[in-house]
Amino acid sequence: MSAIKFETSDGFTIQVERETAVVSKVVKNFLEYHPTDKCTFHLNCVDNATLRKVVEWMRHHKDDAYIETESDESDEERSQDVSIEMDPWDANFLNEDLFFLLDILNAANFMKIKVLFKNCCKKIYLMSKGKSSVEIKRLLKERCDFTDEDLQRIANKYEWMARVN
Amino acid sequence: MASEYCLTDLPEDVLFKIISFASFEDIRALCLVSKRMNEICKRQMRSRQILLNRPKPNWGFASALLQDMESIYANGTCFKHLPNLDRLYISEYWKPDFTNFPYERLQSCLKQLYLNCCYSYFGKTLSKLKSLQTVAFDFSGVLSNKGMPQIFTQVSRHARIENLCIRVSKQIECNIDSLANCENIKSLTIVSTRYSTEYCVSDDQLKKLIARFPNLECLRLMFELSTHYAFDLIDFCEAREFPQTVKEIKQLKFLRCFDLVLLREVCGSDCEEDHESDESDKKPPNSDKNGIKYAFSLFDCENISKFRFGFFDSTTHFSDYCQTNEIDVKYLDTPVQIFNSTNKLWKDFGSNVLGFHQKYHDLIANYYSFDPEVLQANLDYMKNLTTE
Repeated sequence: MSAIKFETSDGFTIQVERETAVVSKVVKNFLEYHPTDKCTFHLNCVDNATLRKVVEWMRHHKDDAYIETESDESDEERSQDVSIEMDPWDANFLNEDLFFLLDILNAANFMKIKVLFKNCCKKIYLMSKGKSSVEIKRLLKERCDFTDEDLQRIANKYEWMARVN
Repeated sequence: MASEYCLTDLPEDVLFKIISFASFEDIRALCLVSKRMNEICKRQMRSRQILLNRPKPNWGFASALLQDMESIYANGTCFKHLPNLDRLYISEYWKPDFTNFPYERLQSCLKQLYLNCCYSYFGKTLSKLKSLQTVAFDFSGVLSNKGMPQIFTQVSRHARIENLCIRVSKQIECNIDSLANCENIKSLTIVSTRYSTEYCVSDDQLKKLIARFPNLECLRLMFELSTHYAFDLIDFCEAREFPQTVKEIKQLKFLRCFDLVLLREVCGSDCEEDHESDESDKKPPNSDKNGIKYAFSLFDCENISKFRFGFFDSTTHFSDYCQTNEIDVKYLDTPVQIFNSTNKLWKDFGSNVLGFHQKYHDLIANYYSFDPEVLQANLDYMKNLTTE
């Protein structure tokens, strides 16, 4: 059986069976144009822990038909799906802290694993869902660069949003 | 080991994707997180492109949405997010796909529809929205042999549409005689992007066009031209084409048309600086009273019991033209601003116009409190001017 190697940003190498690796659109496209049994992908922005997590996801979903379909959708088609529901296994799998989730999201984006990317987006959104801006800032450790006057003005401007169905 | 960077370190497209799952209430909170998040949230809101069914819709917000529309990736996605609106505006920059438009859900609540995009994208689906009472179309790109008859046919067959607004910026190409009669339309607004409708519609065509609406009760003709100042109005009133157009309309003698509104743009948003710096050169010489006299001589239209004349602001959005209440406040207030200055009419005119710009948003916010007696007093005052 042929295997694909991934080299992580922190110097680790992980070997992954081909049918798992091609869940990544980057790998799949490369192998289509450069048929080979052995090759190594250098993932400069994905560390070892993140890649192991991502590979676990790829193994779980490697036989799912919708993974293939989803990856072939155009951006336009894909962007029409704004449902926040997701596969229960994925929901549980992505129960990680925000920063690890961001790493997974970045890896999924880099490796073009669209379903994982989308589910990470949903999960991150769900972390902020229903929270106030102060709570979100605390959660994200985000520095607010607004003045108090700006905040008041924006809050007033978008006050109507709180009443939308 | 996970790295600890901020969420806002993510690329904008990724953040945009995350926010695409958010409800409006959550977007409001996200707007307040940081300037960058605020910008991305605004982009997200623009992409959803909705006006909300509030008692006083935020037209300022709607205008803001339009400022950056070229950058919006339009695919009809927003339609899934639409709440049960009673009015909806769809921008001209879009070429939206109406395949997923929630006709069934909106058919019992959507009363006003403003289509600034090409009509053909909306297709023959007007009849599916059974509660529609007001529709507005921008004919900029569809005044063709195909588009215009389609719209007239759709509107004429709809049981409840009573108000129609059309905006024209190109010459009508189709045979107006072939258009369906819209017997259900009681209020018609024609917005021309030129001095007069004549550029787009000849007097003869206009007469024929209006004749397609045999049960009109209110006709509004509006002229927008952002490069001219308000006091061009006087020259404008004395120019040949405009009176000619009005005379033609008068000759139609609509038995039920009691309300004729003529609105003229005050000035474009780019005008103010020029206006201030060059004011002395722009004053029309001694033409104020003649112009006003001419305008109000139209009061004696045989069948038109109400003639209203005024200005509007070029920053006003197209869809506002159909909002009777909002139109009211714009032109009602303008005479108060401009004509109360009696003896120094033109001297104060410039500053009043600029003041009008300043006050515009306040007026919109307070239009419910407008006093009709003030209006009457000002109209009486203006009528007296014509008899001096």
